[in-house]
Order: sequence, then structure tokens, then C-alpha cells
Amino acid sequence: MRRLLKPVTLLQVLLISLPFFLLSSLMFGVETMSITQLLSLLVQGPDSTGQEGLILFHIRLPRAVLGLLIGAIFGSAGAVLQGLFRNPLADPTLIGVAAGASAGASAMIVIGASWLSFHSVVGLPLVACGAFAGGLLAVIVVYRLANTPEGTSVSTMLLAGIAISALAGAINSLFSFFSDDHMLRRISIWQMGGLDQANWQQVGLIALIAALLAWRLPRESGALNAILLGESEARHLGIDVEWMKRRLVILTALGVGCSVAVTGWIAFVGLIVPHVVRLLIGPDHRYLVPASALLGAALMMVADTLARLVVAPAELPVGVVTALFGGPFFISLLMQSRRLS
Amino acid sequence: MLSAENISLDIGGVLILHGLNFRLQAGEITVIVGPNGAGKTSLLRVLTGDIQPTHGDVSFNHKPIHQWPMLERARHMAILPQSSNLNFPFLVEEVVMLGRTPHSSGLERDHEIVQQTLELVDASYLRGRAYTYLSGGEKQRVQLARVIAQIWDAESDTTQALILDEPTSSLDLEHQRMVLQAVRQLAARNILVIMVLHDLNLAANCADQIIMLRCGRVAASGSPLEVIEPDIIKQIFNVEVDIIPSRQTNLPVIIPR
Repeated sequence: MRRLLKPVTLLQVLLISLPFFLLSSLMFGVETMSITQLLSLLVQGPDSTGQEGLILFHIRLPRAVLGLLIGAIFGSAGAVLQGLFRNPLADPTLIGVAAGASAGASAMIVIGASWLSFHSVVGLPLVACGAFAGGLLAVIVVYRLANTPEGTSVSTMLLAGIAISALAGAINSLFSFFSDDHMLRRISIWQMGGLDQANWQQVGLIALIAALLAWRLPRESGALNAILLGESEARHLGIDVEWMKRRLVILTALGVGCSVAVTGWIAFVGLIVPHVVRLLIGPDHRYLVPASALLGAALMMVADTLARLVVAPAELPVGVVTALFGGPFFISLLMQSRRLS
Repeated sequence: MLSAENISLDIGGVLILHGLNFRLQAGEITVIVGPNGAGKTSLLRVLTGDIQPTHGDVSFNHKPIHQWPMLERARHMAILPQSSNLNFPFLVEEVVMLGRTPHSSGLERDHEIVQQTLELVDASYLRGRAYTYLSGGEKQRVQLARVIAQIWDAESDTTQALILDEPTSSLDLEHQRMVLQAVRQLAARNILVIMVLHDLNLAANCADQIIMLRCGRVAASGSPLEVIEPDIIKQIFNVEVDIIPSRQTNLPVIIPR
């Protein structure tokens, strides 16, 4: 198998094309803006008056930036989890991390609303904490179950993911049962995965998490490469495997948990993106992780633009779009791996 | 120097290793042989610090093995496991490059080392191929190149160790001989080598010292000429053999009856 691209070339292409995806996501919608109109509004800054200015700075820009960051987080978290599990089928949504996070988040929404009656400003960090705790618990359980000295058992990993998703689903239903109509609608819309509620507060939280991941993950790439050989092999190469696993599990649960708290499930980005990148430039994590972040961001821009255009003036939750693409992709991966084994 | 003092290993009430004592010197090739389940791999895992013995001590260069900082140990001791499952399509040269993980010798030097170790195991022609598409024997040679790359450059004047668990199990006759040749070259550079082998003729051919394990105990140990004896082999492997000296090297050659 040949490498299709040099890693640096792919990173350059993605870095150059990302602003174009961002601009087109800002231009298209129910109200289409021309590129000149968009640029002049951006130059004027958030003080610009008029309907277009409002749409741009209060709706489209936070939404686009949020999508970009969430895509980057899911892409890189997927790459890291696949390395950690030594298995290209690990994905935050498939192995139950997102489900655990969503159960944690809905627990927080309902408990927070009924007992603490919090204001939305306090709400988001609390929901994010709930999602982080739920996601962390899920990834620890799946890892404990699926990891054996001979490697990760794919079937155990996926089955554990199903079990956790089912359990988390039951917990979700339980909370839905105890919530009022308004809460119910909020929980169910949020679970479909959408960016439509995006605001600058959410962008701030997610930007913080994305910055943390961008700072920490590149330091782990050498260790992630080594762990693909096996845990004891990585230990023989001088890597403190237990510590590294702990750090990475916490970082990915934090990334996925907070993303899920803000946007609900956005399925398959963490699966598709690292896969495509690996096909193009190979599995070296020094390039795989940043390239997956960039491609994830680009993919989210495209999916969100599509979600707004296909059924305009209404819009689809972006999670539905990614799942519609991701489902068939995952099935084709399964068929491929069956043919190989 | 690597020494084992009275080590015993008990896993879940089963005695895997029982009171083993030996002392291995730099530049020596020690081959561990024994029937299946004799405790060969467990012994390697104890010697490398992967598992703590229930009793006794292992020390490497006069320091207990578990007191070695992980990175320091990785710079001095490289281990080839019996089997590896790497499922990601790294290129062969990238796999070998992973052996340089504990070092910070610079990219240029690392590339030289990758080139040299691949040549040593006759795998240079594979360097641009994806590891996942190689045959079993090719994978084994590439993994061997990886662990050799890990200890290719001497670290100050401390002894380095190369520990190989059945390095020739998937290799053809030519490559078996070639690997033993490579191991001898490394031993000549004062590297301490420990190998588990199944083929007694290969063992007789390259070992300075052979340790024969049976049921977790050292049943015999010494130079090939001392331990390759029909009655010792009968006692350990339960096989009747004839032994004749090789016409060229005068080393013992074993022929099952």
C-alpha cells in the first residue's frame, strides 16, 4: 500500500482550505450573503447594524466557530482513542463515550433545572461537568473490558459500547420521564446533535478545551506510536504506559464530554476522519492527530452548511447529516475488515 | 551483567519458576531451551522486570531491575516478544524507527541506524513497504531490526542487553542462520544476549552458554559441548537422540533417533 500524500502536504492543504470552508459556511443559509457583503461586515466588526450584521455575529459566526472547534475535537479525539485501543474501529460514539456523556449531561439538565433551578450561565459548565464524568466513566469501563495483553478485542469493545449506550439510553429515558415538556424537548433536540443553539458562551468553553487538547496532545504522539506495537512493547521502549493512558483517557473524555454537553451527539466524525487521514498519510500520530483535527473541522463546516441548506428554511440537526454519511462508511469498514481477516 | 539470585515465581498457586540462579556476562550469548511450558517466557519476563518474582532478585548492571528508571532501562535493554500484533499500516522503516523512541540521537543518526539494522537482518528491500502486508517471517525480521536499533549505539560503558524470545520461529533456513550471524556480531560488540530457541542445533551453533529448563527448574547448564548429551536431552525432552560432531566446527549436531 502506498502513501497518497506527504504528511506535510496534507497539513498545508487543510490549513489553506479551512478558511474557505469557514467563509462558505458563513455565506450560505436562509439568507445568502455575497462574499463582498460578508467581508465588509467582518471588517466593520460586531458593532455593525442591520439585519445582516445581527445574523452574522449572533447566529452564523458563533455557530461556524463552534462547529469548527467541535469537529477538530471529535477528529483528534477519535484518532487518539483509536491509537489507545490499538484499533481503527474505536470511535467516541461507537464505544459509548458519547452515550455516557449524554447521560451525564441529561442528569445535570434535569437535576439542575428541577432542584437547583439554575440560570443558563451557571448551567453550561455544570452540564459539561456531568458530560465529562459520564464520558470518563464509559471510556474507563470499555477499556477495562476490552483490553487484553494480546491487544484489544474488537467484539468486546463494540459490545461494551452497545451495553453502555443501552444503559445510558435507559438513564436518559428515566430523566426524560421525570422532566417536564419543555425539558423533554430540550433534551431530545440536543440529543439529535445540533449547532443551532450556538452562542459565544459555548464557543468560549469549547475553545478553552480545544486549546488544552492542542497543547497536550502533540506531546503524546511519540508514545501513541509506540503503543500501537502493544502495551508491553511500549513499556520496553521506556514509556510509562499507565500514566499515558490515564492522561489520554482524561483528555479525550474532557473533549468529547464537553462537546456532547454543548451540541449533543455528533456521530462518526471521530471514526471517519482519522480513517481517511490514515489512508492518505499513514498512521504516524505526529501528523495523524493534527490532520484529523483539521479535517474534522472542515467536515463539520460542510455537514453544517448542508444541514442548513437541504431543507431550508428549516434545518436538520448536524448530527443527522454526519450519521447519514457515517453509517454507510462504518458498514463498509466492517465489510472490509471481515474480508481481510 | 545480568544476574538472577534464587528467583521463584508463583502465579495463582502454580510454581512457574523454582530457585533459579545464574549470572550472565556482557558479550556472551545465552540460549534458554526447554519443553513447552517449562517457564522460558516467564523467565524472560522476570529478567526484564515485566513481572516481579515471588522470591529472589534480578539485577542488571549491579542494580535491581525494578529500580531502573523506565527510560534508562529502555536505552540499555531491548526485548523482542514471541509475537507482535501491529495492526496499523506503518512503513517498515517507521516500525524500525520506533526502536529509537527512548533515544534523542537526532533524526539523521536514527535514519542511519534504521538503514544499518535493516541491512543486518536482510530487510532493506522492505523499507518502503507497509508492515501489515508482510509475511510472518518478514514481520519477524523487521521487529528484530526494531529491537536491535534500540541498542545499536553504545550507552557510555554500561552493558546493554538484547533479549529475544524465539527470534527464528517463522524464519526460513537461510534467515535463521543470518539472524544468528547478526546476534554473534552484536555479542562481539560486548552486548549481552539472551535467546529462547526451540532448535537445539541452532542453540548448539551459537550459544556460549545453554540453560536447559524443565518444569521451572534449571535441569542443566553449561557450554554446548557440556550439555548437548544424549542422556541429558533424553531426561529433559524425553527424546532419544544421537549426537555427532560437526565436520567443520566440531560443535555437536543432534539427530533424533
